[in-house]
Amino acid sequence: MKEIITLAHGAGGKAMESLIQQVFVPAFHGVEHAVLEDQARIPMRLLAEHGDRLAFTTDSYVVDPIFFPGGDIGMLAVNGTINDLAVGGAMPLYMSCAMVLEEGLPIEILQRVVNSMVEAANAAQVSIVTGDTKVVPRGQCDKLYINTTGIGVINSGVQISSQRACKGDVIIVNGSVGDHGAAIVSARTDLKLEASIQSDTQSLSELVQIMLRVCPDIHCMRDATRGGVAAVLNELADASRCTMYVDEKSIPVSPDVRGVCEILGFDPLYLANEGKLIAIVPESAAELVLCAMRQHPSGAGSVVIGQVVDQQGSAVVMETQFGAKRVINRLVGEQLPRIC
Amino acid sequence: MAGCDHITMMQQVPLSDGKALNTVTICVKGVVQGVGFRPWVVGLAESMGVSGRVYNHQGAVIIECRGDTSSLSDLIEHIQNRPPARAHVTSVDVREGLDLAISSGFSIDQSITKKCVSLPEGLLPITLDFAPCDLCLRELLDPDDRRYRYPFISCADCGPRYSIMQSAPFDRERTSMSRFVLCHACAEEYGDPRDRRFHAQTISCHQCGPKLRYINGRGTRIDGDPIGLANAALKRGEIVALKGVGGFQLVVDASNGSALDRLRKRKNRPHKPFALMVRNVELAKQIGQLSREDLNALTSVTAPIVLIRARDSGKMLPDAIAPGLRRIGVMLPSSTLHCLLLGEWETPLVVTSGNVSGAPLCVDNNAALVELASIADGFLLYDRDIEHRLDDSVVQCVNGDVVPLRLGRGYAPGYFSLPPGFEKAPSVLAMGADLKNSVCLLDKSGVVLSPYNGDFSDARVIESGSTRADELLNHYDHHPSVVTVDAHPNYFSTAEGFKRGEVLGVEVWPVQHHHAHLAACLADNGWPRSGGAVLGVVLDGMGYGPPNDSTDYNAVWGGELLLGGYEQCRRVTRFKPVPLPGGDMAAKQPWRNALAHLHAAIGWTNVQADYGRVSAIQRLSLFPVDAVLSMMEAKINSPLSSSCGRLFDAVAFLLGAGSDEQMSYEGQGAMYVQSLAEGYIGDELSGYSFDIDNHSDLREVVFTNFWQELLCDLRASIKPEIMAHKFHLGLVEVLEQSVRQAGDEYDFNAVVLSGGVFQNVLITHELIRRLDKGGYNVLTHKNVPPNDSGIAFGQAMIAAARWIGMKESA
Ligand SMILES: [Fe+3]
Ligand SMILES: [Mg+2]
Ligand SMILES: [Zn+2]
Ligand SMILES: [Zn+2]
Repeated sequence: MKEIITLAHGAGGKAMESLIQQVFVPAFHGVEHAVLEDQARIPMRLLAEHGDRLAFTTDSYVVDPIFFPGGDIGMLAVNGTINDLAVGGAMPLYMSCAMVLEEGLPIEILQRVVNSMVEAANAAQVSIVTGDTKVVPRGQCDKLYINTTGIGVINSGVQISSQRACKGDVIIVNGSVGDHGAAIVSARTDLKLEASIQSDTQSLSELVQIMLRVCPDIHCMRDATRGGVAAVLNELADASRCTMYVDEKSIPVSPDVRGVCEILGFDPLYLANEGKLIAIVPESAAELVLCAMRQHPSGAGSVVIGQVVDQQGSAVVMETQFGAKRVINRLVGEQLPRIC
Repeated sequence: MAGCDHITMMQQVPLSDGKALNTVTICVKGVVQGVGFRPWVVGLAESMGVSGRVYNHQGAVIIECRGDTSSLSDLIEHIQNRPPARAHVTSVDVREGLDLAISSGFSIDQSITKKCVSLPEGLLPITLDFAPCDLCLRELLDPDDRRYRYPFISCADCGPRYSIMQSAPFDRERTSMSRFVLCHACAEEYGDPRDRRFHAQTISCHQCGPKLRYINGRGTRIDGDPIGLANAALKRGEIVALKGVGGFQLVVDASNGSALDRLRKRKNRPHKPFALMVRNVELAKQIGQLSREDLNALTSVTAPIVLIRARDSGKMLPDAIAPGLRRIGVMLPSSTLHCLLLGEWETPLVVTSGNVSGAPLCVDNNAALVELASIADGFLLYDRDIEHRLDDSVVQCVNGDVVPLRLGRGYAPGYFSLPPGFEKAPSVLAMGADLKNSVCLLDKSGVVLSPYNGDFSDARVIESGSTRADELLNHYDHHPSVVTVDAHPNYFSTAEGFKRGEVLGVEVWPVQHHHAHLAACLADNGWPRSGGAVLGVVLDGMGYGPPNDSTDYNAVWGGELLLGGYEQCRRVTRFKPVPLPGGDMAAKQPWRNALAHLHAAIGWTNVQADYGRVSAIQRLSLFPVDAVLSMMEAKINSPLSSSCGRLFDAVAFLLGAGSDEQMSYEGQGAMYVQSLAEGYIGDELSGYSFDIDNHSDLREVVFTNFWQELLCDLRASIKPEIMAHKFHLGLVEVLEQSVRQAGDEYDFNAVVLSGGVFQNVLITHELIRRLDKGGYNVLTHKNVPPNDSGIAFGQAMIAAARWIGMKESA
């Protein structure tokens, strides 16, 4: 009989102790902080080596299904938080992990998720140094939820901000858009597709460090998760009070994702990504940044998709294949039809 | 002039008796500028021995005069009841005394603009563009006249008005004619009280007026007669961009199939019908059967595009003009320039909007030369600016009414007086909907509905719509106390409205789409605020429904019976909701609606088992049916909707609409089905069975039997014309039945028909007939479009009613 999570695993007694020893300790053995204290202790010296500002972020992950083509919830939880640090120009260093488990979850599933978290953390050279587990009765959550909080350090001189987009700046994306959203939605539906679409879940930490090396003065950078590229561009246009043009032709969308979008009536620009960033860089540095990005596997598909055209308003306009100028707005609530 | 105007009764001014001279100041409002009003007053006053002055004051005309009592009453009576032909007097206010002394004789004085005096006047009518009058046309073709073949001939009765107006009052110096200095001969006519161009603001001639030129596709000016050059190009099958009254138009020879194909390809407009322009009524009669109303509409001073039924016999024109449709838009020349261009044509010309796909009409020469370079082979231009962009208006005659479908040149900005009960209305700005957008201003003196802006799917259209709102706000010095928008959270017009609300520091009120349709039709009929409850049959493509409705598990409406009035309404019946797989994609791909409807009503497996051999079902099976069934199952991007428009799309697909997967213009499916049904000639048929489900408190029109019957007919290879006809009849029957059922339960004083589906002549005509017979008071659209161009008008009325209601209950 396979082992499953019971309410006792969250009660703080012997069962919980054994779960921690069995699953978490072997996985999350940080460096010298592996001791089971109530808190992780990080020497200031280690942080100061990397820069002059601390970056600190948190995010919770709920996804259905928890295993999907190209990834799982664990990988997502680690890379998501790493990316939130990375796009601020920070070097991600430490991470916490808190889990809410549903009673009845097979421990083997938990183990797979934890392993995948470890793999992702190791690849990005991030240590998971503290954590927590809670168990809720069946039906009160869906399998498992994860919260991760990350700490990173920003090098002096890096000034990435959502308010710095200037007229003339060039908008870059590091590859095809909409993969994660399309992968999740096709995993949930039987779309009778030929190929399965893989989520693009990946760490952007190395890629960002490479970009900063050739251009420390990147103006804006965001990872295009929920709401997709459309949401990010709108946030940046609002914060910088500028107007951006993007060129539909130049936006990379894989044929499979395009196919899914055509059937479902989705716009790839609004689909979530889990390993894509939007960078807004001075025009003069654009070539250099692009070349550097393309050297790295996470940036092999990097292209320029548009430009900041005006230092007023706050709008994102897409020139379509047919010469129309479509406004890419921020959606309120879900995407509902507009055509009368 | 469109509008539900009424004349404010003249204030009774006690004039002293006897032959003693009296002095009065008369203020005349309405369409009184740019219609020869002041020169007419001069002639009249002089003939009556009245002395004084007349001048334009902002949007009104002021007459200060002295005369004996009977002459003055006479003068006032003439102004009120017998104004010049093009004038439309809405109010005449008289007060005794003068502000300044007057000398003998009668003069036209300097106009007073806002800059001189600030006097809040509220919303007034604006004088709109007129097609050429008979007298001017006679001069145009008279070789002995000094304006023989002059393309910009006009007079006090005709010619451009709003399209060239920069600001009020309408005087030459505030129009784009101002840079054309009158020559001696013109100046003489302008100053001569006996001349018909006495004080005609748009006067000009060959010598002093705007000049035409012809430019080839490479942007090079060609010497020679520009009209001759344009005509030669048209005869060669080329596409000519013509600067019309309110914007550029693209013109080709309608009898030249390959020219039409080229235009369709270059404009990226595969199916949407083109309008035709013909030289005279006789040619129009060759294209279609004209009712008396059609004829009146066609020859009216506004010269709109009239949708007429094309003759079935003797297909004189290529099908490419209006593919698959029986109704064709036809208009007469809207300016003297058009008259000259059409001079020799015995066949119609296609005259369609001069824009690149999705963008607003070009109005500026330089912009047109750039933007239309990829479409036009030549340009017929002139050097007078268009100040306001105006699309050609479109009307259709239903049941003896001329119903506008698009308000543009000659119709908009349209002025409407308020129905009773709105005397304390606030100032409102209404932003309209996203498709067929127009904006609307309202205050206690009336309502002004802007010209058609187009679809808010393109940044350029949104911008020009926003500019339009600014122009009107400035023109009237209008300061809204409330802004109103559609309830759809993702409409661009909604976002624009919230932005404006923030800038103005006023509240923004969202209004449900179909309530706005209902209110627009109410106000169009002058329905009083206290008129009591009405029942609205609102059939539409789609509108965002209030998500707080607990009986509602979707937020997309489009086939409803609403009970209420201006302030509030609630649903009493709806079409049974069906998924819209793919959201907006479903509006473009009718096969999705066919699948969704059949699956919801019968189940796709059953359809395949019983009707798998039917060619329409086989055609449907070629699409990714399984994927779409699975997405509906998983409730991914498949909102439930009661849309009536999508029901038409589903029928259109099964009856063979087009061979393409995509609809290329809005309403294509509905127009196709109507066209088929209109093609039915034969015995009276009985309609398909639509049923009403009474089980919940919200009645539902359900489609199971209807689809079964339609599929049976498809299997029996019944002619599509018959099926389309039976669909229309069945729909009308169930609507009538649901009105009756509502009548058993609720009290209402009228039945209101609104929403885009009521552009369908067959449905409208038949439903009116039946409801009339049932003794209902039926209200239909008359001056405001039943489609989304009327939404802003309805929004403004609802906001005003709510505002007044709040003040009353406070
Ligand atoms: Fe509508
Ligand atoms: Mg995040
Ligand atoms: Zn005339
Ligand atoms: Zn002249």
